[in-house]
Amino acid sequence: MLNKYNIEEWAERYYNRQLTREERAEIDAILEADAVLRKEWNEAMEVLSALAHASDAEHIRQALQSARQPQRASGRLVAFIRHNWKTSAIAASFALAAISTVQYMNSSKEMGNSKSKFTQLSREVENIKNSQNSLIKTIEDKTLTPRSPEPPQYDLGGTGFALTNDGYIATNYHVVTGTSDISVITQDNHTYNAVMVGYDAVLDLAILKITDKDFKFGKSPVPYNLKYQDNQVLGLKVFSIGYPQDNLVYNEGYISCERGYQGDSLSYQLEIVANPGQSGSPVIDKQGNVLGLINGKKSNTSGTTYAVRSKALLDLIGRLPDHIRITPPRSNAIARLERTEQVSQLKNYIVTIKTVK
Amino acid sequence: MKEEFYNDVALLDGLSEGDHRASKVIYTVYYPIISKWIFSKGGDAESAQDVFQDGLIVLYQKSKDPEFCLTCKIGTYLFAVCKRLWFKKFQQKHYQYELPVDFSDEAQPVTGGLQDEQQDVAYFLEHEHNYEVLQQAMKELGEPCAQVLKAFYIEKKSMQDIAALHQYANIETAKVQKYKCLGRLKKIYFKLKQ
Repeated sequence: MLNKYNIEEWAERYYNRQLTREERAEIDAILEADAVLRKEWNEAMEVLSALAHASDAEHIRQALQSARQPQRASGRLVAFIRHNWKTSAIAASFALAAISTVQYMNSSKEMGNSKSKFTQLSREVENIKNSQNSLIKTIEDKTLTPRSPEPPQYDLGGTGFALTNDGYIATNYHVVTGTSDISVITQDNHTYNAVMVGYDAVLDLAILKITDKDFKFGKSPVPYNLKYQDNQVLGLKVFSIGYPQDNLVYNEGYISCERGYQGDSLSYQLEIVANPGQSGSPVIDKQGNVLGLINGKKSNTSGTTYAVRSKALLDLIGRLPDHIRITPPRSNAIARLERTEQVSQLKNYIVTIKTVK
Repeated sequence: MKEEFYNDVALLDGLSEGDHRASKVIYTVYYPIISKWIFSKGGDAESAQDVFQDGLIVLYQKSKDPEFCLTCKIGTYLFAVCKRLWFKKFQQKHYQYELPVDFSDEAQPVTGGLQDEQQDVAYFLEHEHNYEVLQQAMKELGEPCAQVLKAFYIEKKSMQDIAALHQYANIETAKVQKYKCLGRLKKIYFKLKQ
């Protein structure tokens, strides 16, 4: 074990995080007890850190040296620069102009904040109706009269979107959990019964099937596709449509972190407005690829929202029993359309989900 | 290896993996803007290159940190870092008195105020100072030792290559030698630092 003759070796392995938890604890204990050794140890650590810095500096120095050479790089890269330097430069200058408003933060720090919590976004339909009524009343006579409680018809609501044209729907597990009575309301205001055919409580995903055998969402297959995208989505502009109220609502935002709540790698963090009832809304990029579905938000912020990745949904579909045949939508008919046309094509495939508990 | 760098995430990944093409894209896109700013403050090409290089080292070190999650554009971060570095250099080289540095046009109260580029720059400058001491210590250390350490820690060569290059009997001998050298380097380093 550690002594003054092998201190460099242990310090290096400690610095490179190559030690087991037990070894680290043992070393910490030895150093705690021995002040002379501790001083030597701290010195060794500083030298190692200085060497690591020297290595980084040397690496960047060389990288820049080769960058300053006349263009000799691969054609692709040259093409990138040739095609994009103007836009990049413009984008960069915008970024610089925006410097006064930009804030940096460390995600883990932010996530670790114990005050922020995760709020699921299913809505209590009646509460919202009531509060809307009361809002109107307040505006009318400035006095908030106690509301007469109506018997609630539906308790909770969320949003879902079609996986296949014949009635398979994806939504969040928390929207449909704890009930067997699930209703699906389509865009044209028809109500259908549905059953849950698969779920994953951890991923917060559920797959429903409309029980009506002749049901079809539309005349054509589902127009968007589920995109299995792992990376390179940070900053991607996305939009979402869902039912926080009785009418379809459109929202726009961007992916702000590739990890979800507390570093969840099967989720994204978005900056997008989301209200109760939007649980299960698809998160869609500009080409009409569904990247995920909204499932919650951070409770102490207005726009920070989380979405389960499509990857997780595709995994769940893959795990379903054989008799459930879901071919995840692959073709994408709306990639080149204007946003308003995209939404008008999409909306037939987005449904409200209401449950009685 | 990534084939393309069409967004910041890919760039940052490429940078952290030590891909020279990533640093090249960053240099091509951002150096003109940052150097222009430095020229406008009275700097010359050499100091602009220096500041940019130091800024890129900061970004490179951050990119290797698994905790790092950039919440703004690379350019925004890099520019903020370079700006601070420039003011530090400017203060040190051109003026002996404290220059009132105006950061009022910048992100002022960053949430918590800790995890921002100011801290990254302070951390970098501290290491920069140690780096100078280290270089001096390496000089005093003398040849075979300095070469072994340089090959292992800076050029990241394998012990096998180093053993072959310096004609050690085997890897074990080379390792023992390397740690001995590191111990000597440490002594010289701290003697210089006093």
